[in-house]
Amino acid sequence: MFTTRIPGSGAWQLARRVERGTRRRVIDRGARATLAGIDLVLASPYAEEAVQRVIDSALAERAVARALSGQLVEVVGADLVRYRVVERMFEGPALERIVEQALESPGAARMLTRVVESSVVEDATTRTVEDIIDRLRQSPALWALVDEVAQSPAVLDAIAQQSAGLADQVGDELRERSRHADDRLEHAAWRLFHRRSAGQLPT
Amino acid sequence: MIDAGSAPPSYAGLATRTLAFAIDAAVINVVAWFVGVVCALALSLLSLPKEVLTVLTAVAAFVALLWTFSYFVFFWSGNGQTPGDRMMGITVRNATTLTPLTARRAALRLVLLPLSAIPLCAGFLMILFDGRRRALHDRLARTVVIYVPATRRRRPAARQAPEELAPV
Repeated sequence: MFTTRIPGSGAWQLARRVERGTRRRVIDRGARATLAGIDLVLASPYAEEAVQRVIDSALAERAVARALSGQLVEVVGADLVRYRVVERMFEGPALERIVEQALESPGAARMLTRVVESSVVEDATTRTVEDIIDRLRQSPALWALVDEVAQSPAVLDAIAQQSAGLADQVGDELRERSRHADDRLEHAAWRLFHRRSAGQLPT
Repeated sequence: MIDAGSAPPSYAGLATRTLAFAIDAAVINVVAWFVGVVCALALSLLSLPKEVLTVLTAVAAFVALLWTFSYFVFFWSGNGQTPGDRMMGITVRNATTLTPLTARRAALRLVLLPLSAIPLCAGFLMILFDGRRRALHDRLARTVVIYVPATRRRRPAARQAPEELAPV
């Protein structure tokens, strides 16, 4: 194979390499300088004030109003649904961890105690319970359940046993008292006529 | 059933027997009054002659008497316990064998019972002095009234174990 070499091509390639290296270094240093500038601006005491002024300005309000009145909300909502953002958030462990940490914190306990002890919760609970009781009273299913329980063999059995137990107890007491009365009457008659009572006689 | 060969029976006294009789009288009267009221209401719808009403009254009195007679004879000749006797835990038995009365002896006892009441209830007061706590009609009919253990109601079978239900 025979190859021809163009005169001066090596110098040209060298010049291009030098040019590319120089450009890369300039871009890199420029980017670093920009970042250093941003850091410097953010660290300055005026940055927060500047941001606050921008937020408080009418321009910011107009911008936000314009964004909200436009298609932004619909687009964001559609994207939230499309990419299942909410589901992923609930399914992920991060939210669970956050909730756990929040619940375990003493602040949460204090806040919950305050909420529970507040009159708002008491009123809401009272209203809810009264509402539930009213609904239960009007519910035919509840009365059907009550009828079912009242007619159940276990309940009838318990009532019958209790009634029988009470009747037995009354009967026992009556029998015992009447037998005492038998003996007393007999002893009184015996004393009256100076005779031995039947309880003392051999049978 | 009282076993004549077992421990000697304990004879029922005047107070227990009076209470049992009062309970029986209440049962008899409540039933008689209820039936009488129902019959009277039914007859009030009809305009019957006075003579017929008189005859019906006599018939009703006879039926009431028959009802009282049947009540005592039936229960005494059964297991010897009227409902009042059952409640008070006493039973009427033959004085000799301590077995339940026959229907004839039960009827005789009932017929003789007024004899105890006629001399200012002196026949009943004999219970206080008799060795076996017998009234006049008991002596004449040869019966005694004894205490028995109270009969408990049988519990529902569904709650009992199968072994308890098996015949022994």
